[in-house]
Amino acid sequence: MVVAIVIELPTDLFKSPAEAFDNYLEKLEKGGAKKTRPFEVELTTYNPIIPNSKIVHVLTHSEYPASSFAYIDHSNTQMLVADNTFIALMDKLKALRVFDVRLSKTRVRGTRLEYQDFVINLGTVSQMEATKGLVLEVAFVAMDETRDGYCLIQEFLQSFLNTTKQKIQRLITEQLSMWLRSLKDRKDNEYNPSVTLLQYLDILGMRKQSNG
Amino acid sequence: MMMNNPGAMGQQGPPPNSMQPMIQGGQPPAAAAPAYPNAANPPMNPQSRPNQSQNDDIIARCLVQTQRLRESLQVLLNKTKQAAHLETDDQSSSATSLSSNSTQSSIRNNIDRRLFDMSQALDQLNSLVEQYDIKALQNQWTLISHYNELSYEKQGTFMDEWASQTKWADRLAEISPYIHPTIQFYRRSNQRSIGFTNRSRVDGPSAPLIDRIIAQYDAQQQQQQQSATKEYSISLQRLSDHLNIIEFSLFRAGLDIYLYLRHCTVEHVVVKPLNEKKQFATNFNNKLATNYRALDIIAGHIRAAAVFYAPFGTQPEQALSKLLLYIGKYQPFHAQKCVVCQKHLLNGLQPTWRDFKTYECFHQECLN
Repeated sequence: MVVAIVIELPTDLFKSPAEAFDNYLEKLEKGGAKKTRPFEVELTTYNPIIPNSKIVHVLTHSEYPASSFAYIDHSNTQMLVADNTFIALMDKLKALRVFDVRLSKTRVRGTRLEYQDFVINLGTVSQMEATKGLVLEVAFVAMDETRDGYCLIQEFLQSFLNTTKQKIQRLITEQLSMWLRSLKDRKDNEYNPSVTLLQYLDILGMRKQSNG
Repeated sequence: MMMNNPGAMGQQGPPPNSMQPMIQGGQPPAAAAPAYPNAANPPMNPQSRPNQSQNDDIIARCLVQTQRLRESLQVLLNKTKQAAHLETDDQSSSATSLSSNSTQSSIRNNIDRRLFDMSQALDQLNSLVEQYDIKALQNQWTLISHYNELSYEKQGTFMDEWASQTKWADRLAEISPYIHPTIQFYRRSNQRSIGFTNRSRVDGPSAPLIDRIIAQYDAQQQQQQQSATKEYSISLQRLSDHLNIIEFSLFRAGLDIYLYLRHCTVEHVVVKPLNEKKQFATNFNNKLATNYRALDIIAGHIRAAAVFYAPFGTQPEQALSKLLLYIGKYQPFHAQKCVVCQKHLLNGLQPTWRDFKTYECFHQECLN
């Protein structure tokens, strides 16, 4: 019951990501959004020790506390949605030396706000206590039809960021663009939360590639 | 003999066979309904309704046994308190007297007797419950519907009523003459309207009329729509003869609109997203208001439209069909822009207002 867009917010005009976070948060609160609770997204990457196996990315999101989302690198498969025992399974495999965690966890921590029928998650990306950037997730919860929800969220972002439609479209991740393109061939336009997590993976995964 | 002739004193009781509900025998009553029922002594024929009278008898006996249990429990409580007091008195005084011993033994005997009474009452209660014919309740569907209606008037306290009212069996007996489908004494105009061709009020069961209105709307939409796939669905849920719920689903907008109707008058509107129903498949309560601000506002607009389309003198079926047309205009809700500001969102909300005549969409703020 949600359509969401996840984008990386620009922090060039600010001295630090923390200052940018405060600035955007103040802007949202002045616009009428109300703080509800903290939110967190966590990404753990499991590298295989066995050769010819693939990297597994496991994500968790505080909006879906009972679920974990897993994605195999370089595959055309969809995201696996499982309950939290999947994380225990991966940890067990790590203990059995099937997988290894080389990079530390990447976390997005911040505040969840509500504005009319929108849910806004504004968070800072951090890895090993170093802040890397800002992420904004805007979800429209009153529907799950992707195209219409995408238009509404785009308009919201235009007014919030005070920018044009084209700039917003450039900020949208490749995963969401692929999803929107794939809708043309599908009858069912129903959005699902794994698309949100794929967008997070796009942003956090790319960050990891640039660091690692 | 006057005693044997109920019609002689002017107190007409309905003939015995006419009080049978249609559901039990499956045959309509042969005699015509009387003008004034005898509410004090409903003339139920025990031979024609053996299950219900047996059930009523069982309930009455259950109440007696429960009362007996209650009394025994109270006496038991008092006796145990008395025994406790005596024991503390004995402990404080050094000498034990014969009188206190005899009092204690009489208390003990009393307690034993009461416990025996209670066990007997419980056994009898158990056997009565086993004798109760649960299936007979299915024949009381009209009564249950009437109760449902009463509870709706009290804002959905149906289960609470059943739980708190211990004399519900008497109540059922009181109201059963009034809820026979062919009698309907709560609409006395039904008696005078025979021979009238123009009626401004809807009497009798309203579900067939609403079905006709929905069929007319369907036919109208099929003529207008060019695509083969239907973009909406309308279903009618009948709670009682004059209480119905229309569920109008708009697939493109992803909305479910529930209209609570008393005859053809809209009393309550709830708008929900389509997929919310999936979460409550087994325990669905569609009386809960939605959690979404925009949909709540739409529900308010639909209520306003229901009032606008039903001025004094309008036929209720005309008002309802216009309202269904109005609701259908919300189909492209999420894709439409406001006619004034040409935007989807203003203060985080879509254009929820639809003009009652032109069906153009506006933000609430853009109207002023």
